[in-house]
Amino acid sequence: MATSVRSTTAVPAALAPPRAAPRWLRPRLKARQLLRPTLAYVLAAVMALPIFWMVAQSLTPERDIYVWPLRLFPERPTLQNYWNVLYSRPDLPLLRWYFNSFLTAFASTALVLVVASLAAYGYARLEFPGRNQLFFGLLSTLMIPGAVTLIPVFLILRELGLIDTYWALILPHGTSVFAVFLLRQFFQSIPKELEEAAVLDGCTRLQVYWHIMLPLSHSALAALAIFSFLGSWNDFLWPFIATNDLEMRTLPVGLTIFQGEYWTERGLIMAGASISTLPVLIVYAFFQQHIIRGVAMTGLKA
Amino acid sequence: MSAVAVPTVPSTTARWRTWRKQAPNYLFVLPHFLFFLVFLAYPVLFGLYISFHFWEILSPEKPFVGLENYQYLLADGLFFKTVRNTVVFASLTVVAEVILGLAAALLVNQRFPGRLAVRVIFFAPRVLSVATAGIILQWLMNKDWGFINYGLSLIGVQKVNWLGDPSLVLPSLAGATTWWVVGFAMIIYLAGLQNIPETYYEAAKIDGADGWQQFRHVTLPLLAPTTLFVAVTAFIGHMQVFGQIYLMTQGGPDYSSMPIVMYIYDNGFRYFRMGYAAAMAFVLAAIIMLITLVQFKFLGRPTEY
Repeated sequence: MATSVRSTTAVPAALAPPRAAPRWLRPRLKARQLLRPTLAYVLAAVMALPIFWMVAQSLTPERDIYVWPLRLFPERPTLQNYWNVLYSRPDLPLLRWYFNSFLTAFASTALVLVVASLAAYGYARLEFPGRNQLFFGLLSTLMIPGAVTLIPVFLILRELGLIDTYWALILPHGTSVFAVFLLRQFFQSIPKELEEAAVLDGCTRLQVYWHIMLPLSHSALAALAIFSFLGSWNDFLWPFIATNDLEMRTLPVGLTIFQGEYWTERGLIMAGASISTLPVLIVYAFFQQHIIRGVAMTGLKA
Repeated sequence: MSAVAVPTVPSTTARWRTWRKQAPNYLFVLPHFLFFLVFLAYPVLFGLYISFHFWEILSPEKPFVGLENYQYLLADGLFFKTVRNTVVFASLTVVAEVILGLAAALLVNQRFPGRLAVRVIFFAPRVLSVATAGIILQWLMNKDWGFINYGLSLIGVQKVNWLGDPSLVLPSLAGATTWWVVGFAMIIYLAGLQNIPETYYEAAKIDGADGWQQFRHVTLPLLAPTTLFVAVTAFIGHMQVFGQIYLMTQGGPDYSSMPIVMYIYDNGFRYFRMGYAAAMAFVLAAIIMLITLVQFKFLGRPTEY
């Protein structure tokens, strides 16, 4: 053991700190660090598998579907199922269902945004007798489950002759108390000084609403729009009840009927499901930042 | 000037002036209030009214029968079966959703390559419609041709009748629904996790807490409001399940997966016993509110540090 000028105390070799292994021997990553990403990738694969399987089956010719062993990737991929589901089944107006769903979702979202933002501004910033009592009264109805209103609303709309129309699908969404609550919270966080300045400049209430409250809360409005759109798009029970005519059905209801009638033709069904899914997934892929942020925001505010 | 309460009693003219100034404000809340009246308040009262009558949609006679519908409900064995089914389904799904949602959020809360993609994939099923999710999952769980049983067969396990076996159908449906919705819970938990200040973890570390103890004493308690929110909203939603079960099993086999809302639907829109169905809906609402109150009791205490 060479004695160095620096060390004044003798350190036995056994207790000396181990010298680092040469660089080429050091493992790149600790095994523990790999655990998290690996688990995440595996879980993500499990989550994605059903969607992947749906698309794979949609590209499989009918004669290859009921064949064992199953294959994840079709042996003879074909677009025949897509052709069939779109053009050769006149009793399955898939594109019309698509249009119905889209129109309903779009219109009900617009309705909610307008009605709820007006009301939220009223409850947040405008004074009138009974305001707070009214608002908290509304809030208490959030506890009421939707199932209770199904039959009565159906009977009311039936009396008005509105069953099987777009009105029946769109109008009930205007009641959303949650939307009013969310926007009110948001409006209350906007500094009063801005409004007061506008009023001093001679703005009417409506102008304050339009030029100040709305522009400043566009992130909350966007989150609400996304929520509302997705909610309407996914809604099953109400459109199921409110429509009878095959042409007026929305996509989820139509697909269910489709599956009920053609349940042995799996390729066809999977193609129908894929057609209804892929655009939604594409929109999601582009807007997922906003969508996810919007969902998180509603959770925080609640 | 303002509507702030002033200790003096305003004169009549002053009150009239305030009223004139504030009256237009009602117009802002009016549209929403009208919708509320027409599509929520009146229907609830109307529904209650219907539940006290023998309301067959086809017959002109709708006699008042008092509590008879409710009495019939209490004697209806199928109703109790659907209640049991629904509570089991909702409980399984909520528990799975909360646990897996939190686990996924914890997993994704640290940086690693592809983390954003993983987050996107976890949430993706949530944007599918209930019909699409039901169609995919039903085929996946098919006893003879489903991919899940195929995978099991590769490791030598016998085919399982996920949706056809009465003792398996509810857990299978719960599992399927969890796949569909867990992304939502994950996102809410992520937001909640990111809201916990670092200082709490530092303080815990100084006190000598290891990872697991930090989780138990810092993360979990501070996530209690988040958990309450997820559990309550998930429970209320799943208690009213209809779409995926209607699509995947139609309530079978032999009513072992039939949820309350489907029984309400059958009674109201297939047998046209609307009075009975309306009564059932109110009982469902009562059950939901009761269990929600219990949840608030258990999870609602605010955590102060």
